[in-house]
Amino acid sequence: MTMAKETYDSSVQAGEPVGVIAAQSLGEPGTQMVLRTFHMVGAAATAIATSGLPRIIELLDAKKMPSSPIMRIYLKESYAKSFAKADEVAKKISEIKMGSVMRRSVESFSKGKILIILNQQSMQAADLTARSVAARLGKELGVETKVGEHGNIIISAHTKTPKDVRAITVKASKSIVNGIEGAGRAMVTQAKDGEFYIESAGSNIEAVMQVEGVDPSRIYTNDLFATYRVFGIEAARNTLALELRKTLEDQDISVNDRHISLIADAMTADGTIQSIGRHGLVGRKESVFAKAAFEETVKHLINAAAFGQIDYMRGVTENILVGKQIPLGTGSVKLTIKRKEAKKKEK
Amino acid sequence: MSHTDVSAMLSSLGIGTHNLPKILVTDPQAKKLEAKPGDVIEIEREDFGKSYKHYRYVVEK
Repeated sequence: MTMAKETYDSSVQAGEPVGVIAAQSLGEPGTQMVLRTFHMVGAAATAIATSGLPRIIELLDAKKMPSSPIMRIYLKESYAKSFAKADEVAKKISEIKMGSVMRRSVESFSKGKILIILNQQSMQAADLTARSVAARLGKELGVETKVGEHGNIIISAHTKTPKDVRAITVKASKSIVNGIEGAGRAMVTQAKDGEFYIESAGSNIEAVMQVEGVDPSRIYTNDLFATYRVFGIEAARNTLALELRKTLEDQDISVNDRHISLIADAMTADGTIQSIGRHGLVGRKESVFAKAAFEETVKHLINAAAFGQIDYMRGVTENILVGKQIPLGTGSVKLTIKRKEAKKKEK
Repeated sequence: MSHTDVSAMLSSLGIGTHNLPKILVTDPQAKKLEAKPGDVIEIEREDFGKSYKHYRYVVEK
């Protein structure tokens, strides 16, 4: 009996302004959070991550791309058990640009050729061969490449205008020579249960899913919109709630889960990810008075007058504005009298 | 969810389909389930250790 009562009491009452409470529950601890992003020194691939208030703002504003995207890529069973096999997959994913493995480039304008001198040390560190780099570079730029003496790469530009040759050189140094675009540096990490998985400092789950050995159903990214595109709105909601929770936890702030769940639910209620604020949730307010009370008062009122808009007085703002009781708590109930019953009482 | 289940669930909660959270037909999961606009999808959620049922109404736009 007590259990049942406790359960009933802990559930929310009808008419409770849960949104306001959620906003305050998150807003107050927010004042204590770190206002600036700072970089931590860590061993993992995700050493630099946006945290604290900037990350919370990023999530609530529903930014298209997080400022520090990460991926956690889980592998198929046969790959997840050995480090060597997991590392093989990680090498296929890890994004390496030409610029980070070359020492310098020499252009020959008269022959239309570019010689790229590789930095053997960083090549070895990244476990790349000149041949694979040359092949990938050729594919990315659409030019002919071959491995020359001393393991250097020669690009035949098939053009003799110095401008075009230079353009290719510039493009080459920015080109990807290994891995997946946007995936960032990928590293193998071991979970507590001994499973090997890959962490990377970038996000491109669409492409990573295609890589052999990757378990496509278990990729996690902190990029909300990528999750939404690939796994749908429910997954995006869960990511949003999880990211909010994690960010708050990192700052040693405890906010009740139900507030976070509510925010995540509200942001994804219409099937897309909406930001909180003027352009998202609040901007969808139907009431003229509520909109006019917020910003650009005259514009909203003139528009409403010109188009004959109706205010149904269902929200909080508009009712405060005209001095009526707000439709929350006590105000959410309407009282009427049954005529017959009233007459009976009179007698 | 079958349509009879939907109407039973809605009347027990005293709400209509327009009160439910929505999901687009173009959503990857809706496509996987071959849902049509007007359907209701039942979702088993695991939220911070608590599991409960959640519903989404399939809409076109």
